[in-house]
Formats: sequence, structure tokens, C-alpha cells
Amino acid sequence: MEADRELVEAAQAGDRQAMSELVRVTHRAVYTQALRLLGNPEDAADVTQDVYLRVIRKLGSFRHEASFATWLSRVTTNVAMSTLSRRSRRLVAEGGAPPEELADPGADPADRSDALALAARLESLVQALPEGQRQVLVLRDVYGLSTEEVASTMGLSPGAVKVRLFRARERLKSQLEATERDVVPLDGRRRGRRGGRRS
Amino acid sequence: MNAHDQVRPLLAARPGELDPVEARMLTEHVSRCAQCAAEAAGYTRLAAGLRALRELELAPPARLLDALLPLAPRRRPSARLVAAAAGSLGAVAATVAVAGVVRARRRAARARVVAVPAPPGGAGVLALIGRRRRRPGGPTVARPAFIRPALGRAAAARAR
Repeated sequence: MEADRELVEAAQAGDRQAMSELVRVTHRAVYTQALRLLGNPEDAADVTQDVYLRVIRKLGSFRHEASFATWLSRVTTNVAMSTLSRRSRRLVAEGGAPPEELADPGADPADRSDALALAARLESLVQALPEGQRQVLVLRDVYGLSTEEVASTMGLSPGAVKVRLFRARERLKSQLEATERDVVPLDGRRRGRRGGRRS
Repeated sequence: MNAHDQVRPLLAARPGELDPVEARMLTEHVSRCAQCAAEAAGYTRLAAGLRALRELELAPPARLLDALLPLAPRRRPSARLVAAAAGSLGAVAATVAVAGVVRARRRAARARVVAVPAPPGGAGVLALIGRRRRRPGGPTVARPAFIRPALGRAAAARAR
């Protein structure tokens, strides 16, 4: 998803081809984030279009202080949340501080591969969370907004964000562990407590 | 409520989300409670999986990109670009003007060149022509030149 700086600068200078390439390179990430926040493919597609309308309008004000991906993620968050709530609230400033650094899932290729495999299992579990918990979790743990930014974006108190976050993490961890207990390995026997039983 | 119950809600927290007192309480408890240590490890793994989720992109509907690409506008060039373009045009105009003056001087110089009639039957003739130096009374220097247009006009005049 990462668009290089030259491409962004060319788009900022009015190069239509660069703008098209920028859309091509980044639209999957925008759509994915919108879908994770909204939980509905049609809404996510609509929000993606609104995001690019806003990007085209505001690209000139992007100053490369954060990465373009970070800026685009913030625009997506704001458009998605305002679409969702339909009520005015103070939005996360798009030119604001970069989000809390999210550590690389794993510098070691094996760790990285494990983390990506785990992420693939988590996708559907995250989608199944109650909406309020899902949004808080996605903004905080996936896209790295601070608790205060999540609170501001969602019109909640930081305390309410922490409570939702704790519930979402607890639920997700428990469902993940349940899913992994139910995985049937190649020898046909289940793992974990149920898998340990012998007939 | 014992220490175990107090610590349990803290296990899901990520580094930086707890105040120093809570963080110390959690560290001390986890160091001597295997059950809570296992829980904490589970949350750490979950956090890694959620961070990695950002790298996974979901496939959008096939027509979404088709709808997005026309949004890229043909923007007006900025004032700075317009100024730069005007500067370039000015430079081109100046170059053309200078070239015109040079060409006019060359034409004037060519008018002083005396065309030598072509030898009989000579097409594409290399003739020796004389061109006077500006110094009056100086020697006339002959130099070779290929003077197709002059030759053509001279031949036409003879034919008349």
C-alpha cells in the first residue's frame, strides 16, 4: 500500500496519471480499513470513494510530516466514522501527530510469517465483534491510534474506550483460543483438551 | 478482591496503557503466577496478530477501482508552473528573434556573393566564387561554395 514520495509529489503537482496510480496503489488498503470499521462491503466502497474525493481536495495540504499511508489512514478513519455516526464531532486532525508506532509484526521471517497467519485467522473474528468493540479495537490495535484519539474520533471518554478495548481483546483472545483448539490436524485428531481424549 | 483479581483486568493492556503503579503490580504478580503469565503471553500474541492485520488487504469489489479512477481531476497548473511556462516561452521567443537577425545578416552577406555560371551540362556544380573582403583594395579570395539556388536563378536568367 505504501506509495512512494515521488508519486505523491507528482500527484500534488497535478499529474493526473500519478493521481490515478496513487489511487491504484492505495485503494485496497483504504477499502480494507473502511470495511473493518463499518463491517459492510457496500458502505466500505462508498466510504472509499468519499475518501478519495477528500484526498483529491486536500492533497495539496499534505506536507509529508507523516507518511502518506498514515495520512490516508487518518482520512479514512475520519470519513468512515463520520459516515457511521452521522453526527458532528471533533475529528482527529489529519495533519496531527503520527500514530503510536506499531512495531513490525516480526523482523524474523518466521515470526513475521506466524504473525501474518495469525492475522488471517483474526480477520473474521474481528468482523464478528460487536460494532462498538470492533471499531475501538481496529482503531487502537490495528491502526495504532492512541486511546485519546480513539475517544475523540468516536465521541467517547477515554475510560469508555479502555473498557471496550479490554472487552474486545478478552473476547477475541478467548475466541481465538477456542478456534485453535478446534483445529483438526492432519492426523485427524483434535488438539487441546478435546483433542487429547482417547476413545 | 485478592491480587489475582486485581491484576486480571490489566493483563490485556499493552505497554504504555497502564500507569506506573498498575504496571509494577502487574509485573510483580505475573512473575510469580504461572496462570496469569500464560494469560499475558496470550494477549501479547494477540497484539502481534492484530498489528499484522494491517498488512492484510481485503479484495474490494472489482468495479470499485473503475469508479475511483475518473475521480482523479485534470487540475489547473499552479501559478508557479504558469510563471515557469511563461519564462520558457519568453526564452524561446528571444531565441527565435536572435536567429532571425542572424539569418537576415547571412542573407545580406549572401547577396554580395557573385554566382559563377555553371559549366556546360554541370548539375550539382562546385564552383569557385569570389567574395570581396571588406578591406578595400585587399586581395580577392576565392573559396569553394555550393550555390545551388544561385545557380538555378542564373540558369533561368540565361534561358530568358
